[in-house]
Amino acid sequence: MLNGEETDASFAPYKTLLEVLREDLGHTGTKHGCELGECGACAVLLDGKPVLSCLVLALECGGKQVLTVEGLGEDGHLHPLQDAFADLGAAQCGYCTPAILVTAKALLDQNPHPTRDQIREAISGNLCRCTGYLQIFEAVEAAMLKIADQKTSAT
Amino acid sequence: MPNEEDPRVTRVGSPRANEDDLRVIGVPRRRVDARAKVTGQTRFADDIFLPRMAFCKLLRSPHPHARIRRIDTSRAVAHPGVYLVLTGKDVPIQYGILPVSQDEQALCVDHVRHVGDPVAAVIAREELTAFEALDLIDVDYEILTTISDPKEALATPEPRIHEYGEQGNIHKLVALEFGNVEEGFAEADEIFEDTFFFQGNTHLPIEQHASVAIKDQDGKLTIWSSTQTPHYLHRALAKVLEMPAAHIRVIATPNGGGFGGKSDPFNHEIVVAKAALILDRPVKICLTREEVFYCHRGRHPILMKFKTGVKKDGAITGMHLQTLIDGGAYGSYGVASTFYAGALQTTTYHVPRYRYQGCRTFTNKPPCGPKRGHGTPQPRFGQEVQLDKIAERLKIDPANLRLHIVESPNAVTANFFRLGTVNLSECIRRVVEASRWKDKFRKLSEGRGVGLACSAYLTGAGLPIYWNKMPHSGVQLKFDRSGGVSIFCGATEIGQGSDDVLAGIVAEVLGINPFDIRLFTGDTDLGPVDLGSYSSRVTLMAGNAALQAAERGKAIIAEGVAEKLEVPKERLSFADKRVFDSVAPEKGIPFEEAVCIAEARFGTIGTVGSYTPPKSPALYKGGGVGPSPTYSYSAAVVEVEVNPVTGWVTVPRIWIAHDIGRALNPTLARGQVEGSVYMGLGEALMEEQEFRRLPRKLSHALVHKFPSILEYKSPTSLDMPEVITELIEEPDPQGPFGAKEAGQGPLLPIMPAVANAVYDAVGVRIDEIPITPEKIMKALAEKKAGREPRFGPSHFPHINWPEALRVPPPWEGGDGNAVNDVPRRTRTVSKKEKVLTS
Amino acid sequence: MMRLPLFEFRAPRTLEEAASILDGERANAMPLAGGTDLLPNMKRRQQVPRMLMSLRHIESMNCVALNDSGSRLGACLTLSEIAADRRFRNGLTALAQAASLVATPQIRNMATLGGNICLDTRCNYYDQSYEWRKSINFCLKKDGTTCWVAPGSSKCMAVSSTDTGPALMALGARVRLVSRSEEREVLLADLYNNDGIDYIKRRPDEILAEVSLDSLHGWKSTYWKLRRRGSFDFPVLSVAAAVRLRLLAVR
Repeated sequence: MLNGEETDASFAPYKTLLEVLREDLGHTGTKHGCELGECGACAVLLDGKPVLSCLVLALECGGKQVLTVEGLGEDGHLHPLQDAFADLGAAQCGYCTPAILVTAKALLDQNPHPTRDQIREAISGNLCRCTGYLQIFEAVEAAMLKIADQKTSAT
Repeated sequence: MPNEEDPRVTRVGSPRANEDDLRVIGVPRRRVDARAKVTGQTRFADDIFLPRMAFCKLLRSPHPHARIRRIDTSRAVAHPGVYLVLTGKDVPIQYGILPVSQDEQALCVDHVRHVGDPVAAVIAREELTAFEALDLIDVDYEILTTISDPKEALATPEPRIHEYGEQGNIHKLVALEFGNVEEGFAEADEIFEDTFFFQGNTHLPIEQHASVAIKDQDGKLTIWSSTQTPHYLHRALAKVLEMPAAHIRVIATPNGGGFGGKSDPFNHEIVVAKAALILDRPVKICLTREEVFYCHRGRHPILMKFKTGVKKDGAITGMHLQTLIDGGAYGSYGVASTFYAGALQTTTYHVPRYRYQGCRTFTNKPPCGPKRGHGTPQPRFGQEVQLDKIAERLKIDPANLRLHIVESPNAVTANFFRLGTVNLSECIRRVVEASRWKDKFRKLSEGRGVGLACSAYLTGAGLPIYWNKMPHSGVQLKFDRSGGVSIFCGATEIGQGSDDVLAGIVAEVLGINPFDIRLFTGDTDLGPVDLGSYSSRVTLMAGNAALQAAERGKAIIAEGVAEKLEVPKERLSFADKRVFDSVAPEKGIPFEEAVCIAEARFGTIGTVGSYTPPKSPALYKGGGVGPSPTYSYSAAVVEVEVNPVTGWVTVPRIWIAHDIGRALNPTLARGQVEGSVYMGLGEALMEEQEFRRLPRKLSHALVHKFPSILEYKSPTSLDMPEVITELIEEPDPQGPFGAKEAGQGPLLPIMPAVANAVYDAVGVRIDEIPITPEKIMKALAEKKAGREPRFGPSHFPHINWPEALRVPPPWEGGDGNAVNDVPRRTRTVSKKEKVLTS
Repeated sequence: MMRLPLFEFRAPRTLEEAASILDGERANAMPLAGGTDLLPNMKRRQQVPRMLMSLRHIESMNCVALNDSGSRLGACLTLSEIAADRRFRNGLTALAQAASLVATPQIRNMATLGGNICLDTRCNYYDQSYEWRKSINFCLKKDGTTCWVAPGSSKCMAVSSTDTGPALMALGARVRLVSRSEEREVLLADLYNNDGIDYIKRRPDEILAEVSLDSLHGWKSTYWKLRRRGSFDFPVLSVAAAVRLRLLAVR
C-alpha cells in the first residue's frame, strides 16, 4: 500500500524502496542525499515508522504500508504540518523537507504534544543545510497546536 | 497567510510596514514557492525522467597527479547495455568560470590533477551498468609528484600542475598597497602580529549535483541542471561544444542547496550535453555524495598573517595582511578568491593604510572556489580574533573598541570601495544589550564564556565574471487580462527565496497578491540574463530590475486608468488588487480591469527592467573584486561552555544582529540569518575538508579523508543552539525597498565569536578553524605548563612577493588608480573577453 | 546515485530453513536483518555477497521474554523497540540506553540487536567507496596488503563500533549461535576476536538468533557514549557499567 492505495510494482530486484518509489512508481517527492543512510533525506514511513528508504529493499515491502510526502494531504487539503512548514519558513531549498515532514508526522501520530527537545530528537536523523532547524521546530509546534485544535472542534 | 510578528525577530529602527503603507514588503508571509516544497512537487534535476533516458557515470582519476599515457575503452564499449563511452579527446576544449583561468577540460586529456578528476564517461541503459563498465576502462597513468599543500607547492616548482600562472605551482600573486603602511606602524602605540589558519571546508548541499541533457525536437540542446549560474554554464557549453549559444537552453532547476558549490560550469554538465547530442536521447547524471566532494569548489584553506598597528584607544593606524591560499587543482573562482581574501578588511573599521599580499598555489586536491562568504570568512576570522587580543592588551571592552572604530556610512575605503548604509554600531549595541554582554564578558565562571565579533559582506559583486557593459540582471513582465502577472528572469532559486523576492516586489508595486504572480526563472530561453545566485546579488540586482519593470508597467496602466476614470495619474494608488483614486478610494476599478483598459488603449503590455551596479571608484588592477552597490553588516555574541578537562565545546546561545536594510519577507530573512549562523557554527566547530597523504615511501596517494556526509561533520538538530535574531532596518537607497543581503553576512562573525568566547571561557586562544576539543586540550596543556596558552600556526613562510601596486587612498588625494605602472607580462587575451582584473 | 550490486534473495520462515540455506551457501550468503550496516557496505562494494538471506520473517527472532529469572531477546528486535520498551530498565538500562544512542531514529527503527552486535569492524581506510579504496590500492581488510593505520602491522586495525556490545558485555550477556549442525551458546565477551578482519567468532554458516541474560534483579546499569555530534556518529569512546549495590559493598 502506497499512500493508502493498493499498488503493484514491477522492478529490478536489487532496487531499494527509494529507487522504486522514484524510478518505477513516479513518486519523486522522496529525495536522496547520500544513499548510505547518512543524511535522512530519503525517510518515508513504513507501517507508520520512519525508516530510510535508501536502505530498505523494495522486495521486503510487500504487504506493508508506505507513506511518502505525496500521501500527507487529505481530501485535497495539505496536512497541518505542510501548512505550518510553508507558513513559517521551515522549508528553504525544500530538499530535506519531505523526509522531515513524514518523520514529524510519525512523531505527532505517536505523541500529540511533544516538547521542543522531543521534536529535536525525532528529527535528529535529518540533516538540513539551509534552515538551522529552528523554524522547523516552530513549524512542528504550530502544527501540533493546529491538530489539537482540529480535534477539539471536531468533538 | 501573514504571520504574527515574530517576537524573536526584533526589527530595530525600521519603518514598519504600515508606515510606508506597504502591504507585501516587510510582512512575514508564506513564500510563493512554499507549497511546491512541502508537497514534494518542486522538480529538482534528478526528479526529471524522460523517455529513452540513458544514465551517465564518470571514471575518475585514482591518482592525485599523473599523466595519461593511454586509455583503452574497448571493453567498456562492448559491455552489454553501454551506449557510448567518451574520453577527453571528445570534448577537449578548455573552459572555466573565470576568463583568466580557463584551465579545465570536461574529461582530462593528458593530465590528471587530483583524485576524482574525471577521465572518461560511460553512458548506458542503467546506472548500475554504467558503473560496472567503468571498471572495464583501462587507463595507463604515469605518476607525477604529489603536491599536497601550499608549502609543498612553493617548494616544488616542477612538475607544474598547470602550464600557466605566476611561476611553478604558484597560481596567483597579489600585492596591493593603499598608503604607506610602514608610516602607519610608526605612528602606532602598539603593534600586533598574529598568524591564523582557517582549514578548508565544503558546502555539503543535501542535493547532489545532477543534470539531464536532451537534444530536443528542434535539434537544439536543452540541459536541466542543479546550477546556481545558468548564464555562465550557457557560455561554457557554447564554447566547449562549439555550438551557437542560441541553440542551447540551460534550465537551472531549483537547487537543493548551493552555497557556492554549484556556481562553476562542471565536467558532468558538459559530458551529458555532449552525450545527448551524440546519442540523440536524454542523458542524465546524478553524482554520488563522494563525487560532490570531488567537485568541491569550497572554502580555500588559508594561512594568514596580520600585522596591525593601533593607537591606545584602538584606532587602527595601519594593517598588513599576508595570505597563503591553497587553491586545489584548478583555478575555479580562485583568482577572485585571492583578491576577496584581501578586500573587506577595510569595510568594517576604518583602516587608513592597508597592505595586502596574497598567494594562491595549486595543489593536487579538488579545486577550491566560492563558499558562502567567498574568501572573506577566513581573514574576517583573523581580523576579529586579533581585535579581541588588541582589546585585551589595551584594556578596552571588545564591543566598545569596535564601536570606536566603525567605518562611516557612505565612506570610500582605503581600497576604494564605496560603502552605503553602515549600521554596524547599532548591530553591536543590540547584541551587547540582548546578550547582557556587560554582565558576562570576563565575568562568567570558569568554563563559561562569551565572545563578540562583527563582519561585513557584499550585496552583489560590482563587476560581472566576464567583462562587459550589459546589465547584471534583467526582468520582463507580462500582464495578463486576468490580472495575473508573469515574471521572466534568469535569477536562480537555490533555496534563498529569489522567486519570492521577485514576486514580493512586483506584487507590492502593482498592488496585487504575490500568489497571483507566475515566475519563470533560471531559464536562459525564457528570461533575460541574470548573472546567477552568487555574491548575494539577487535581492538587490534582480530585485531592482523587477522594481523597474513593475514601475514601468504601473505607469502604463496608470495612464490608461487615469484617462478612463478622469483622475490625475499621480493620484492613483495600486493596492488590494485595485487601482483607485488615493483621495477618494471608493473610486477605482479591479486590477484586471485596469490591465484590460491599458491593453485596449496601448496594445499588448509588456515591460522590462534591468540593473547595472554603479561604477566603482576602485580603478586599479584587482579593484574589480570587492566593490558592491552596498554592504551588509552583522554583529554576533556567542555564549559557550567549555569543559576544561576534555575541551568539549557546547554552544547554548547565539545573539546576532544583522544590518539588512529592509527585510523584504521577514520570515525568509530570519531563515537566512539562522541558516548562516548554523553554517558558521558548523565551520567553527566541526566542518573540515581534510586530506590524507599516505606515507611517501609506500604510496603517492593523497585522498580526501572523509568524502561522506557521515564523516564530514555538519550540525544536527541536536547541535543547534538557541539563536536570537535582530534585524536592523535602515533602508539603503541602493536596494529595492532599501534591502541589502542576508544570505552570507550573518555567517561571518560566528567563527571568530566562538574563538573569542572560548578564550573568555578557559583562557586559551585557538587561532585556527575548526576549534576542536583536541586543540583546546593542547592549548590548555600549554597554559598549564606556563607557556603561551594558544593553539595555532606560529610561522608564515617567506614568499617572494612581487612589487606592490601602490594606490594612494582617498584621503591622500588618490583617484583610485595605481601610481606605479606595474609592467604586465605578455599574455594572450581572447578577443572576445577581457580579463576580470584588467 | 549509489546502487546495490545484483544479489539473490531468500526469505526463510524458520531458523531451520535459514540455517539450511547458510549451510549450503556458506560465505556466499549473508544474513540480512535491518540492513543498515550491510547495505551501505554493499553499495560501497566492501561486502558483495552473492545472496542475501532475510531474517525478518522468522518469528522466533522477534521474541522478547523478560523475567526475574533471566531474559531472552530475539536478535531481530529493533533498537527502537528495545529503547522504547519500559521493561528494559534498572538492570537492563545500559542496553536500552545503548540502543537509543545508535545512529538516528530512522536507523534505529530498522537496525536490530543482532545486527548491532555483529557490526562489521570500521576503519577510515575501509569504510569508503570502491573508487576511493582503489586510490589507496586497497587495504589489508579488503583486497589489499597494507594496513594503512599501521603500515608495519600484519594485523588489521579496524575497530568494533557496536554500542549494544559493551552494554551487553557489562551485563554478562550470552548469545545463541544456530547452524545446521549445532547450536551453541557463547558469552558475548568471548564472541569477539582482537582482529579487524576475523573479528567475530560467528561462523558464516551460523545465525546469531538470540541474546540471553541471567537475572539482573537488583542490578543497575548505564551506558555512556562520546561522539562528535548529537546523532549519526559512531562512538569515539563508550563506557558501559553495571553494578549491584549490597549495603556498603559494590560487586
